[in-house]
Amino acid sequence: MVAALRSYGLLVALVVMCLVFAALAPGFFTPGNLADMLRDLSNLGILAVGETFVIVGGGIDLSVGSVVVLAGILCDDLIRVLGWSSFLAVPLVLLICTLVGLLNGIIITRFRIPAFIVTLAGLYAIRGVALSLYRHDVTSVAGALIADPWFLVLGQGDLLGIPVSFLIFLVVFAAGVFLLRRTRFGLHVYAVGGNELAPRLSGISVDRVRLLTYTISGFCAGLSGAALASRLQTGAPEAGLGAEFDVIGAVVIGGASLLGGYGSLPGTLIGSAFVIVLAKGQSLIGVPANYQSFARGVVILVAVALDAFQQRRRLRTRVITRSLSLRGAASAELKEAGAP
Amino acid sequence: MSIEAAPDRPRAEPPVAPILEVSGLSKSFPGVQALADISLSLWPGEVHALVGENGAGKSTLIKILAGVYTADAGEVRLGGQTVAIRTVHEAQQLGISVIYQEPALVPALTVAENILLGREPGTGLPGVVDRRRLVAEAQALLDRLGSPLDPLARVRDLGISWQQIVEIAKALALDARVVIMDEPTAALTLQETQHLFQIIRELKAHGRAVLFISHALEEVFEIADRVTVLRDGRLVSTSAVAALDRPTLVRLMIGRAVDESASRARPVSGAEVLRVQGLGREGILDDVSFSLHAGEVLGIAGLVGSGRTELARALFGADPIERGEILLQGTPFRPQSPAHAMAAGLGLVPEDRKREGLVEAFSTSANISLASFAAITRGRIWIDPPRERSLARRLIARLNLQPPIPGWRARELSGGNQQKVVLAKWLARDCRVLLIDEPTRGVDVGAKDEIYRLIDELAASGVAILMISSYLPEILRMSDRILVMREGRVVAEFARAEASEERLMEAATGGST
Amino acid sequence: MSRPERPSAGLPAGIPRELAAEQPRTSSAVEAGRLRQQGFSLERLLAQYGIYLALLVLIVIFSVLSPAFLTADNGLSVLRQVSTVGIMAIGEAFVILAGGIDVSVGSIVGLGGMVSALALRDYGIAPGLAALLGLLAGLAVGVFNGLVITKLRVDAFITTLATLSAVRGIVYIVSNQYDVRFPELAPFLFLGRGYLGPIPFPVVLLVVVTAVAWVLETRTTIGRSVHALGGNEAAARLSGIAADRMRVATYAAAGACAGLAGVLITAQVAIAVPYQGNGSELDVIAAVVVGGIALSGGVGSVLLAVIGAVFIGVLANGLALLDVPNIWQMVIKGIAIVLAVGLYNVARSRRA
Repeated sequence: MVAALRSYGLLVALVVMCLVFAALAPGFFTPGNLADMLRDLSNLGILAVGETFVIVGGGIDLSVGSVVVLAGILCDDLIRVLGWSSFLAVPLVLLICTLVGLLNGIIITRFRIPAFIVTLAGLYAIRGVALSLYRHDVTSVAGALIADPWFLVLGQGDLLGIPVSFLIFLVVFAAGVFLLRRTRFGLHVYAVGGNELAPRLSGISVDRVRLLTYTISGFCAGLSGAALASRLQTGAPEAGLGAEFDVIGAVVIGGASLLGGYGSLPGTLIGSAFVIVLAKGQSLIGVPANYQSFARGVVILVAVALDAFQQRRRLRTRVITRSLSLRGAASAELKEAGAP
Repeated sequence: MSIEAAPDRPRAEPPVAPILEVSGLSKSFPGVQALADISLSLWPGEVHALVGENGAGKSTLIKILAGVYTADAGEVRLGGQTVAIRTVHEAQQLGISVIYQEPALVPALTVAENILLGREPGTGLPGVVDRRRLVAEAQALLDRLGSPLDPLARVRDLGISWQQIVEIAKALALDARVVIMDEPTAALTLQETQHLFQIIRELKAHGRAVLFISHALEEVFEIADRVTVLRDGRLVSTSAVAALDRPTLVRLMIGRAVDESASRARPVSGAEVLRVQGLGREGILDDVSFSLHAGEVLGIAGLVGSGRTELARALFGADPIERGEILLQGTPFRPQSPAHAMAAGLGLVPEDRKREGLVEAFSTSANISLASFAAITRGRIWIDPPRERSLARRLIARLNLQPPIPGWRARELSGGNQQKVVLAKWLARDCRVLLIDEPTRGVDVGAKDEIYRLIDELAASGVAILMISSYLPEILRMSDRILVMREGRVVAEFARAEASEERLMEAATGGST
Repeated sequence: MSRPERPSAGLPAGIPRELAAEQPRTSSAVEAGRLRQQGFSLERLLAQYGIYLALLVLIVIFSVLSPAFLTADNGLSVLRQVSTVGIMAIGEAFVILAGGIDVSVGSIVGLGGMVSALALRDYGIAPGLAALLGLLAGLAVGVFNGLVITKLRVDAFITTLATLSAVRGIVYIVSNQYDVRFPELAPFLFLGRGYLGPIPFPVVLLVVVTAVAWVLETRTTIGRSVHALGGNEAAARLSGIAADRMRVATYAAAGACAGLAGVLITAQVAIAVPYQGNGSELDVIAAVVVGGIALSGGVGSVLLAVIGAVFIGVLANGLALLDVPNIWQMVIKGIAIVLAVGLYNVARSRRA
């Protein structure tokens, strides 16, 4: 009930925010800007889909930003430097990123190391690997930017006026919703995050479910990274910086609880939209880039504080008695009921 | 005394074999024999109550059947076959479903999704859940139970009584042959209890066996066919409920010769130190009033969940107080925090020493001085090791701690010695009011005696002591006066001379006030 | 309709923690552990002092592999590099020992440096005072963190994650994203570049802070309270320890240490860059974890954090001397953390 209120509240806040920005910044509702925002939303949204799985399952993945960078740099290396076809390169990159997610999951479940440590370490380790693979010195025949037209469709193309990346996001989103709500696996993700005992009693392998969530997160990060690299035409290393905050912020704002077991993809979508509109709107009305980092931090803090507040309201004090509230009448009933 | 009787079966039917047979089950932990040679049979369609005092072994038996513990000896047979129950999942597979006091449900999922968790019906596509069938199957189960619960409701929106129904439906979905319930009515209102009983009758009609632990004896008489009484880990009797009346049941539960020899000669208590009036906290404590005198030991008896621990914590400032007032030696006292209560001269030996009493990573001496920084420091900040050492040695000697080494890690002490360390922590402070919650739980016999002697000494020196205990002989031995609590209220008060185990148990389980 | 209470640790009342394990364990095993003689245990020794051994081994290995390693010059250079992380690790150690975590220290480093630089440049404040302001800025952020965590009960990790972002933002705002150059006053630069005898000043500061922290931890009730909080918060509260206040103090300490480190870095390079300290939270947590302090709290000591920082510094130095590409150092750091946590976990669980 309160969660629904929160989602509606969020939607309302989103709409209000859009209106405010539209009023303050004339360029807000132009097709160019909208397309831009949709592309931003796709990048963040795809990441957020993966992160939602992880967070609902009770974990957290901080390495997604670095995987995005990795994907971008790998695409750059394979397509621009080595001249591979996109149809070979992109699936390979996706596979690698998925395996990275799997590795995260294995270390977390097998060695019982806290998720935030593993993924925090991953954040730096993966970025390190990615940077070491970056060939910014090599300019191929086509120059310093990726030029493969098929690849560029990913991040820059349009289909009937709608950005291709947004369409890809919609597909990923729909697939995610289906997976989370319609399959056994999805239900089990909620179970694992929501109550450790319930899935164990039912014989569900908690480790396997968690492992899969991290794998999904890796895949999504790879996809998002490839799309971003396509859009920027380069595997820019600064690309994924800070992405992990936006993603976690989006998921938490959208109603997920960091303790696990709560959350939804539609909520995440709204949360992502919230983050994107906030960022874009700020740029448009001329808020200096400096303030955006600050604002981002504050927004996440507020969202999480609200979440914590809600969690506390969810806890009930233990009710000991039945007759504390029904005194006189109850004792008479009790006597009747069979107390000799 | 053992009365073995088959449940009442009015219809003429071929004799049915028991669905669950436990024979010779024993389980011991270091220092205590939790279960000794328990034998029990459960018939399909039977509702069987398990009663006994705290510590009688009921939970241990349940946990063995649930797959949490493994028995040391004895055999469990299900449907005639001997089974080994090693994990909770195995227990469930074998058809034993346990419903705990806190439901093991997934809050974000619907009732239907919870009921069929892990067994969701699939469609042709791998992994995809057939929603329609899921809801339909869940609905069918709920219909069988006669419950109006909506399978599409989200569990997090349900109250605890409805969640229990979901758990029962889950048990049915697993085709559980034996449904075990641990104090199912503890958190329910009267109406919800009746609803639950209706469901239990449905389970009966479907041939399931229901085993439930209860402290509410009137419920036993209302819903159960047979009742088993455990005492000190042994089976006292199993009999048809119809063949018993309440006083007999209580006597079976207590059954000890009252230990008169240990009554102490203690000087008459002194001035009133603490007066509590109308203490209340929504849903937890209701209009609690009593007074406590210097040199007196006030025993607080009652069942688990009756509010005793909550009372102690409230007096100590660890939990908030909503209504009522406290007078400490005549002046109003509203404890804001444990530190505040401590400054006023109170001390609390908590119920669970591992979770609340000791820092296990600390040494004995560091634990002892944990509440006495003023005594071991210069200027409240700088620890003076010689003073800390001498404090530790003094108390180690007084309490006869084994081993008497100040640097010994608390984690490696036995239960009895750990309890003594917690006591030492408060003795180091010269409290004028000491609240002790379960002084000898999990403590071996030797340490038990030492602790009793210590409490006697403290009382003799003028300390006012409030002692909560679930062990009736202990209450009777140590107390000058006894209060009995039930459901957050004080329901009886006895002077030592007029108290007996039976009267205490009567009051605690809701007999005549 | 009330919401269900979230079961503690996912277990219903009355079910022992054995249930959380995959395999069933009889409680007699748990009991047996308690009755075992407290004596020599290899696992416990390793868990407590393993880092010293590891450091020794590392030094030996690098000495063999690189002739330039075991020189006084190189040694001092390593210590100088390590000093800022070491100071930060001390503050972080207090937080983690008490059972919390602070990932915002990297941004606080930037804030400390920036505040002192701006004080010197724009307000003509005396160098000593400017340095103090940098430290106080860090302290303030730490107090903020602590208050949000204790009063609003927000998860420590997320709070400090958000603060990380917000504080970095503040740094960018006040500097307008430009590097800040300030009047190169000798007293200020001494903080980062000066020497006391043969020893660089930052190293002296590290030693001083370590000494102060060690005394605080082992000889005062503050240290005792911090350890009690991390060891068993409930028992600490019920023993009258002001848990919330202590916790805020630990975050304040972490903030102050990070602020101080920021001032030192700025004083050394004579410029305050907005992204100063970016990513250093990982180094700090790595130092703490590798040193042997458990993330769950209550285990370890502040000294271990410093040794951990030295270990990582030596590791980085050795790798640099062996010409291992800079970028791989990040990878190695990540691996070192995971490895350390994993090994300590194993050692600790085996002796239980």
